[in-house]
Amino acid sequence: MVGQLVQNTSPSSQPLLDVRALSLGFGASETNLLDGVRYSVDAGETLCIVGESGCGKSVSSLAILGLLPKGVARIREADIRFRGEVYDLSDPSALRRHRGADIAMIFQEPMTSLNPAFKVGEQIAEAVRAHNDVSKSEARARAAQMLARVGIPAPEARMNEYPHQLSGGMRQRVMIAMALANDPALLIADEPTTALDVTIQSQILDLIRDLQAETGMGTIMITHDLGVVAEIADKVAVMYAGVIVESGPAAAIFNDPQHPYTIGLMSSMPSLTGPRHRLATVPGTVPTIETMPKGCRFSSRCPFAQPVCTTPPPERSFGAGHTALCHFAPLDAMLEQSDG
Amino acid sequence: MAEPILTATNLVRHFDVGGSLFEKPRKLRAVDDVSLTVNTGETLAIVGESGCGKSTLARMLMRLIAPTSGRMTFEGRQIDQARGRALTELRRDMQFIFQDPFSSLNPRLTVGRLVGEPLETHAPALSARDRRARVAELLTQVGLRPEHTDRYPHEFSGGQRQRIGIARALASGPKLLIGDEPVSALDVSVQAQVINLLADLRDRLSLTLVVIAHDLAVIRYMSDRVAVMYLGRIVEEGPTDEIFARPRHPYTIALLSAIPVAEHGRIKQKVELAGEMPSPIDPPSGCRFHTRCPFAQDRCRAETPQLRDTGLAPGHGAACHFFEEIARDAVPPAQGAGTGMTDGARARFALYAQALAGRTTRPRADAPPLPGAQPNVATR
Repeated sequence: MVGQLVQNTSPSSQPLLDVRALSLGFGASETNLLDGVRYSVDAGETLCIVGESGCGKSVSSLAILGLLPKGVARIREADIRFRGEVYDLSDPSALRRHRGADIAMIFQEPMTSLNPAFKVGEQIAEAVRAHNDVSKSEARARAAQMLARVGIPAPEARMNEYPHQLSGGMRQRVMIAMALANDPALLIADEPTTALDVTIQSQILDLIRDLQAETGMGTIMITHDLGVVAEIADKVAVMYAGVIVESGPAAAIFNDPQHPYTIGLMSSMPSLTGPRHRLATVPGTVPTIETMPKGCRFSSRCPFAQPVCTTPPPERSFGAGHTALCHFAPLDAMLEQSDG
Repeated sequence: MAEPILTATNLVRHFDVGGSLFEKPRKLRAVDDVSLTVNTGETLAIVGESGCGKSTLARMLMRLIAPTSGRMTFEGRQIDQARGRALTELRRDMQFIFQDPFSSLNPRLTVGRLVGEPLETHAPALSARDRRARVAELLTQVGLRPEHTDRYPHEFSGGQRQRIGIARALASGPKLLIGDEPVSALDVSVQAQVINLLADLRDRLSLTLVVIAHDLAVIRYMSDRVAVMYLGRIVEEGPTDEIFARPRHPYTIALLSAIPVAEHGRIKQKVELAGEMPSPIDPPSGCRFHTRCPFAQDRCRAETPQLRDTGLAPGHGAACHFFEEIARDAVPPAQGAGTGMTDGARARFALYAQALAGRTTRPRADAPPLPGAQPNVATR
């Protein structure tokens, strides 16, 4: 039984994945692409990393899996623990052993991550055989079992189909089946439902949640959609321009947001209820690596920015693991209107 | 003042797929018998999931493709067979905003050329200097700066590129704009900027808008009326507030309940849809939604429902045999409150809104002392 080859639980005293510091550089630029990124996820827990395009949310997880293109980004600082042991980003063979085995990943666009020339059953079986010493028929049996588990009807028949014969939702189910075939302890899902319609998105989110409850795996979900975050997150990390500007339990982030960026992001979300007032926005655009402001990286778009914001913001704590990087948090106690 | 500007009656568009020397091609029924009216000055949203035919419908309304059958009028003129000069004139009055601001702008042209190009076609009499002035005016209108004329598209962010696309669409002085997913490629914070811009332009230039979208929350902020499409047909139509408060078609109800709401701890009444949208090549008999509808009965498999007035609000109709019974038991999808924001958070949101509105803030004199300026190790 392949499923028992990998031990699935970690001692509860330590996080499953503990990213204590992760900084990435880009070429010769002194500005870090990712700057002191820090987060942790426990077994059975879902951490959502939320942010807009270019904020570094995908890059951080690709770096952890050792999937960054060679020679583009340089790791400047990495202090990571996986199941309490040092997780060395500079050791490619160790990363390869983890990748697809106890750490699995699913991507946004299932069509580009599946090989169009092979039947989906073969692709799942291949993933099983890559990390386990099992026969071909055992691997195939495991593949069929996984397809059934992710809710694909007639799995034995679907095994013999090619990716193009499946719909977008079905392909994402195949990707999930492949990712979970080796019973990973940690699943990293990068915008897994962004390319899907809402009714299908709802099915896939339910599936991920059910599988997680069943297996006790930890999940890192990368998304831009605060709605998805509210549905599934236990913990949230809000990322802006390569920095985690606020993080904490989901309830704290949604009910007591502290960072001006989190507040701006939530204000610009169109809502299904309430009055249809004009939407608030976050003025301006995300800075590039060349135009990165000194100090607080959000200061170039922050409506509250003061001269002091050109210096690095302090990390302020709001209880129960809720922190924000802002000179003026909590805003309501620190700021007032100056013109009546 | 509900003066129709654009009408479509029994619009049909089929595409041939497959087929060979020995095999007859099969018909893909992308749009099948759609009738709708767009009134002057309003924003009509057409929503639906991928494959429902909404983009085909938009392209047909724009006359980028011709309908297989059906009638269309623009300001009283029949346009479904228009060609040549009549079509060119139509293009001046009706313009299109594309979804992807990255692939819809020629990377080799400057912004000035991109925006000026439609002027060369639609206002050939304009002198070069007048054209430059007009381009500068258009750029200002969409919130860009006249200095941007000499730059190329790659120098702009996604939101700015969408503004260029809008300026280009406005160049010919259209009466009607059709946007196919105009904000869905943009990040939330930028998306809000473009939604506000389109609303401002509509009011300032007395435009009529047709917006095609898959995101119901977005169209709630953009539209006066909504038409919901499923597999080539309109299944529900009505005033926007009405559709969100009292949806009647089971598909609309399911669609609304599937949208994740960005609020913590909200318990939602979900109407789960099994399976996926069937292929438009061989659509289900009767009501096309019956294969996924949790309320389907024998009659739904046999008989195609027509759009019927719900009697709830003028212009609210649903194409379902049983919407009265279904809706009676349905809970409004957006019901149920979340765990609620703290008072401090409410105050912060208010501060943010006021700061955006241009009111300046300053540190409070009685603010708690900044704890010993110890920068976080993480942000050196």
